Amino acid sequence: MKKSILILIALLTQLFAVTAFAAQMRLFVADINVTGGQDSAEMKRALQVLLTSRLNGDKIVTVASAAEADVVVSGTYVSFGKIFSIDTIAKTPAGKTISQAFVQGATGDELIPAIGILAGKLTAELTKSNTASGVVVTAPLLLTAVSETEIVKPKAQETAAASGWMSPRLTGAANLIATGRTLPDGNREIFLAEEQQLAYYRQGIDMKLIAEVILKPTEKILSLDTIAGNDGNFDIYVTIIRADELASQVWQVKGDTLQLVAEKLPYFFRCANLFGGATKLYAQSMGRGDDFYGDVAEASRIGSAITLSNPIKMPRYGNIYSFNQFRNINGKTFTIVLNPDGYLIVYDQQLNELWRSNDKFGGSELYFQKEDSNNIRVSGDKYRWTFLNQRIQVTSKGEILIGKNDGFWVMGNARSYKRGAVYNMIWNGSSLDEKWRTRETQNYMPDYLYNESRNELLILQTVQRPGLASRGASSLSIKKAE
Amino acid sequence: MNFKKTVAIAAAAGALAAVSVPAMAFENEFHGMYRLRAIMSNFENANAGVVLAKDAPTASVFEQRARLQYTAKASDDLKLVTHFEIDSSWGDTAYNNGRGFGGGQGADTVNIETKHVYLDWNCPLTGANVKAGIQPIVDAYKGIFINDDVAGIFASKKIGAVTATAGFSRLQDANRTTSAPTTAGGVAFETANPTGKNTLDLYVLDGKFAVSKDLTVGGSYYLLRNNLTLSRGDTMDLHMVGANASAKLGIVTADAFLAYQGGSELAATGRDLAAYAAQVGVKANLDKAGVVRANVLYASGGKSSDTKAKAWQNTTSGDTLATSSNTFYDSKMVLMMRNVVNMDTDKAIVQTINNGNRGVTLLTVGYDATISDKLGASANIGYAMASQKQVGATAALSDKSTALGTEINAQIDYKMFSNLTTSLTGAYVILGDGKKYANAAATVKNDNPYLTSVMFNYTF
Repeated sequence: MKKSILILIALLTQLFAVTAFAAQMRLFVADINVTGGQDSAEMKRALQVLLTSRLNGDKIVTVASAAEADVVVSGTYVSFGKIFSIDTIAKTPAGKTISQAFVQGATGDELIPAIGILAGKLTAELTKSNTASGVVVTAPLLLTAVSETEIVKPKAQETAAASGWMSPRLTGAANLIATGRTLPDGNREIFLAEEQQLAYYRQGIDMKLIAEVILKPTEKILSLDTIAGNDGNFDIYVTIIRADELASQVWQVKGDTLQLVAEKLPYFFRCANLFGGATKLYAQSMGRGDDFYGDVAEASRIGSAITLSNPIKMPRYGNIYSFNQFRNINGKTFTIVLNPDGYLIVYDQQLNELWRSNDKFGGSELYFQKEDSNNIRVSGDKYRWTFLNQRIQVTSKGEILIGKNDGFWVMGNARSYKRGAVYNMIWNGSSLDEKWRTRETQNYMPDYLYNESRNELLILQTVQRPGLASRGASSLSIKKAE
Repeated sequence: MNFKKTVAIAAAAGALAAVSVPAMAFENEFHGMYRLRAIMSNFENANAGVVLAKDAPTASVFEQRARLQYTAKASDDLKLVTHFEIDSSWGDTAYNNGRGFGGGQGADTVNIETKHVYLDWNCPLTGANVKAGIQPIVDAYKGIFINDDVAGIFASKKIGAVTATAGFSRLQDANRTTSAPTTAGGVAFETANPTGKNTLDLYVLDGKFAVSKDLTVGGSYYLLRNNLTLSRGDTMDLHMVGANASAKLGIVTADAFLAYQGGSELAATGRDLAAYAAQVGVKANLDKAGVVRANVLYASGGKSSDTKAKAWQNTTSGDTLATSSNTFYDSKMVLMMRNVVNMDTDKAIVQTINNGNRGVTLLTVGYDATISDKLGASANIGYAMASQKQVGATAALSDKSTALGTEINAQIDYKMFSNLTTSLTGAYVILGDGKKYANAAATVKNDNPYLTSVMFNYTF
């Protein structure tokens, strides 16, 4: 009898353990395309909202973006006269179909009840497939050995984890990355910048620190870019703010050292490949009242003299760090900008807004401060904060790359992101379509870089944030973008 | 409409309202701050009035302030900005509802203040940015005329390198039929039922021209229309015109302004007015050696016996117009001028720029050092004098001297986190005879004021 009770307790323990730890499926309802009907845009949105609310429940939790989801549901609404049909398909983020469901109705009055029925069907199918295929993680039974079948390894994640190159832990929480030359021995020059430190690494099988320079405590690095200089050397442009003013520097690699070749340059710098063309150096000034003053212009350097040419008019929210340009197949120019709220905006040649994303992108913890006595009475902060953003890159094929960080705490000027990814998007004539994206990093992604000639993505991660007595730490991963 | 349909529509509407989907452009933006300041001083406390006395006792005061700002952003072109404040001095009172209370044992107090509520939008027709409601305002002259929260509407538009602003603000509304005029500030104000008959209104025209990245010039015209104490239709108008500039020259950034006030003074007597103010500020970035700052401010003063008023006029706030609404924070003075981190203890030797019709002449020099990315220090010295000594009918109604005093202060800032700074401050004022003695007949010397404080300031 005692033995029976013990067995029963053990079984009950396992049963409750499963209930208590069963993870909810994270589901995102993407676009429901509407064919027929009157106001397709409004209908599309209403269907998305209705289906989202009805799928939300004990077993499924709906999320605000595909990036957060384990399952993405999309569908089509078709109507002929009064008869309608809604067909949906549920896929993993990797694109594997999990289930399909549809519902039909004879009149408009049946639409809302039909969505309820459709949600019920989908929930049943998804719950079943969740148990069968393990799309989402279910906690293992207590007191039993974890077998291999209970560990979820989505194909995409397995591939991603196994591919590419990962650096060892690098001392210092770097905010910025830039690449230099590929050396005859095959090693590649990589530069990382923290707030006050510029580090020069050589990356081969491992990643070796070659040289490091420490700036003054009054200085802060805001951007880091590299480009072949006029003198045949490779220039490292370091945008620096000091005492509310720009005091940027240019460095070069000489042997195993970094050598300062120009300083106190009153410009923000960025090396960018507009239209996916050749990389050029761009500069923008800081004004007395404006953080970013005037147009962005092409820049060239001779010694410490910077010459500006070919100014580019910025659309709303555009500045040297938040824009890029691409062309469509007809050669029309479009400007893409990340606005301060994180939405991607595409402007036409006349700088009129054409499209803006529904999802947020970008996100950076890097900022600069300027003393602002006009605002101090209200904000209680003697500084005005200006956050920089993720770089936007355009490839020669017209693809747009943008970084995206998600965070658990982004409120006002207090930002702490916890994971990031790089998205590849392409302009389809009316909006940007996602082509691919990288697996999310496990940490904040302060910067990334796409090397088109090698088809590689260099993704920088902050593995430990700087503290009171530590510089923090970073890691770099390099992946083939295929 | 049948019941089923009604339910269906209600459900759809409810779902639309309740479920947040990514297509929604609505943004919620939060900012805020918390500041705790522990003070040891013989001058600053939360009691009313400026206390300069012989054997002034040293007191310890703890004051705190939280501010929460919520912005409901419907789109890039439309947002509602709200800003709330909770102030308390430790030990003040509990269960006694009112602003600035709640620091006594037991705490529970209704003490939330509404600081700003305004709508901010970009006009689709003109492209102008418009802010309407209770909002912050600061003049183009570092706040020496007005730096406060006001109810009004202000529109600004950027045309090329020029930014133009026009606005109107109702500062006060007096209902003379129900409230008897008081002597403090001249009138009592209608607190419940504004009539729009007797008001104090501010009209603003302001322009800024960014000549180049290194030079900005500006000009303004302000009209302060005062008919608080007059018959309907009559006004005492204060006209203010000014020019300002800001420039960068190598390692030096400089700014300057010159302003003139004409029309009528702000007192009930309403004499004709001719007052001036001028300021020059420079800041030199000495690279590794830090930053050196210097400021000179002159605001004219006048005598009560003058036929024409000559003292610089500034706005004041509150129902009795007794609270200072003007600042000169660039001086970095802790006790001599209003200090930006003051809360309930807001006290200064020169509390208003008008300074009891004396005006003020101020010279300050400061130095900022960045010792590391987390540790900074600054030191300042400033000398202040009245621009005009007051001479009354008797020595007891006259100033002993124009000299107000010399302040030395120093502060160390340690950035514990990017949003939290701890500051240690010390300030001492060697009083000039104009403040050392209560008046020309006095023989008792007031103690020199001093202050030490520890402050935690968190902003987000």
